[in-house]
Amino acid sequence: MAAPDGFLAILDVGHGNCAVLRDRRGVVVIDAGPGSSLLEFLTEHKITNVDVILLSHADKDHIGGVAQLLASKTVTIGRVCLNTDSAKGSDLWDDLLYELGQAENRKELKFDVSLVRDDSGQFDQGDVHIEILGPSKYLAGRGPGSTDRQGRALTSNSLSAVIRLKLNGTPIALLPGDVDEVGLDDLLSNGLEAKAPLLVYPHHGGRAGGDHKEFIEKICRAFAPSTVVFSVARGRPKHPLPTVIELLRQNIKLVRIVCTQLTEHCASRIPATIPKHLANVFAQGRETRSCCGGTIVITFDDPNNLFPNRALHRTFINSEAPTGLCR
Amino acid sequence: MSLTIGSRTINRVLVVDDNQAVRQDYGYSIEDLGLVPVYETGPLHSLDVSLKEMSSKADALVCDYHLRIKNFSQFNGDQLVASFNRERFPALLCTTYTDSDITVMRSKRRFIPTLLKPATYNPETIRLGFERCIREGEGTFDPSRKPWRTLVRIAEIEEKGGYFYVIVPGWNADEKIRVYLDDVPGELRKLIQPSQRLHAKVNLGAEAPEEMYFSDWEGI
Repeated sequence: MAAPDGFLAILDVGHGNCAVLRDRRGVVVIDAGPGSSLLEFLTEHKITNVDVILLSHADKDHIGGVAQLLASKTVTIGRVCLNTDSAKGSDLWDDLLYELGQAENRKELKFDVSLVRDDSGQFDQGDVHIEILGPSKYLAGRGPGSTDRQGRALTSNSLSAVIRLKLNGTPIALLPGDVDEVGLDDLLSNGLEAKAPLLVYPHHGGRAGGDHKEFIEKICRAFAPSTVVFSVARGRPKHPLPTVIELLRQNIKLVRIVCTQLTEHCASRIPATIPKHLANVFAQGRETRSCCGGTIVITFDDPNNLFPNRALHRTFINSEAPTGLCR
Repeated sequence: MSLTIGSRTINRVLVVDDNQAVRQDYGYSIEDLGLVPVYETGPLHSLDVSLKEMSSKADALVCDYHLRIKNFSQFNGDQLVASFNRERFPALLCTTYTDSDITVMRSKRRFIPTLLKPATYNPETIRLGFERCIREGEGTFDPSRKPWRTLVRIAEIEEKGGYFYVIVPGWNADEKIRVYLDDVPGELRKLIQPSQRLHAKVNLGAEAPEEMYFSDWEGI
């Protein structure tokens, strides 16, 4: 796959989330998991300016990579948007706010402590419309540590920004951070239509709180994805949970499952050689032969054609993942 | 036979270890790679003199860390290997090590591309190790070795031991990494206080704490 003009890449960053959207006028990064993967990817694609960074919520596996992007002297950043998280109190969260504050003082970027439904359309850079489906202003206003109207506890995950990308009016992907049942209910109670062909599954396929089965059923009804991506790492075998895969397949026939890395659930050993089916872009697991789907790419000239190719990926799974959850 | 990597050709490999049996063992794998082992029997001269003498004996080097034993050398293998790689002379460190050893080695890890344990020392890892040394000498890093400027937070200080712990939030916000105070430039040492933040170049793609190195420290 040659580097196309416009693309959405869901990066293999190990255990964490990160997506890069390159459109006609600019680049948007959605979440930045820890490590060097995002910088590697941007360098590989000669991207020296990121117009907008949207951070779904304040968990380390979604914000850990921002520090090096801010510190980098090779990439400039226009704007960073995130929701406040007064309950977080972590040093990492403070590190991020510190770096953002410093950068804003130097007038290097704009920093907004708000990412809610009304912000849809503000971040568009060309043909892709960036919709913020959640959280509502009400939920963001209540904030983590508080409760929703039903008295249920609000966490960082409840406040995850749920982001849908539409190419020329047609949904192509849904990135819901680590949204939990409370956040999902907030979205659905507003009667929003939220379907998308590709879903990056929240919380890496772990438990999202509440009734597990009901949550997955709601996700499947609300988003109706034909492809579900799990941003996971080899060495973290708890994600995705086998029951999540099982319930997804019960609810959506023929759903395609793509994990970024090959977990121990699926293969006790890594492949003997670097797999050939991967998209020809940076993936964290490539060097250690830990990739399953690797970095996933949708090109805007043919958004139905997802990399890695389904048939080639299936061949890889059949030969290298003897206990594959998606087999 | 020889090993050609990019524009470099390796024929002879100098093996540096104070123990004759270990030298011989290391030599067998070098022979299996089709190369000629050359054995350094010591005792070694000063670092500068050793660099000059050794580089004329071979095209690459494999070295143990613990060289000070029985006055084999006045310096340890990490210094020798890092000095060679700085000069773009491919050098591998192969050794058993403790956590303390790792802390000592950390300041030199920028120029120790490959640290092998005896159990993982074989013709294939030697070849890959030399490849990595040569690529890094040309400025091309594997993702796990590439330095990136990032935020570093001081977690705690052990003045008696002469070291401190840092957290690299962009790598793993839960892992404390031990660094010697002497590894930080003198003018910045006054900034080494708990909760203080600095910038440094760190190989953020490292898989494990023992692989991490820090360079180019900057105050904020």
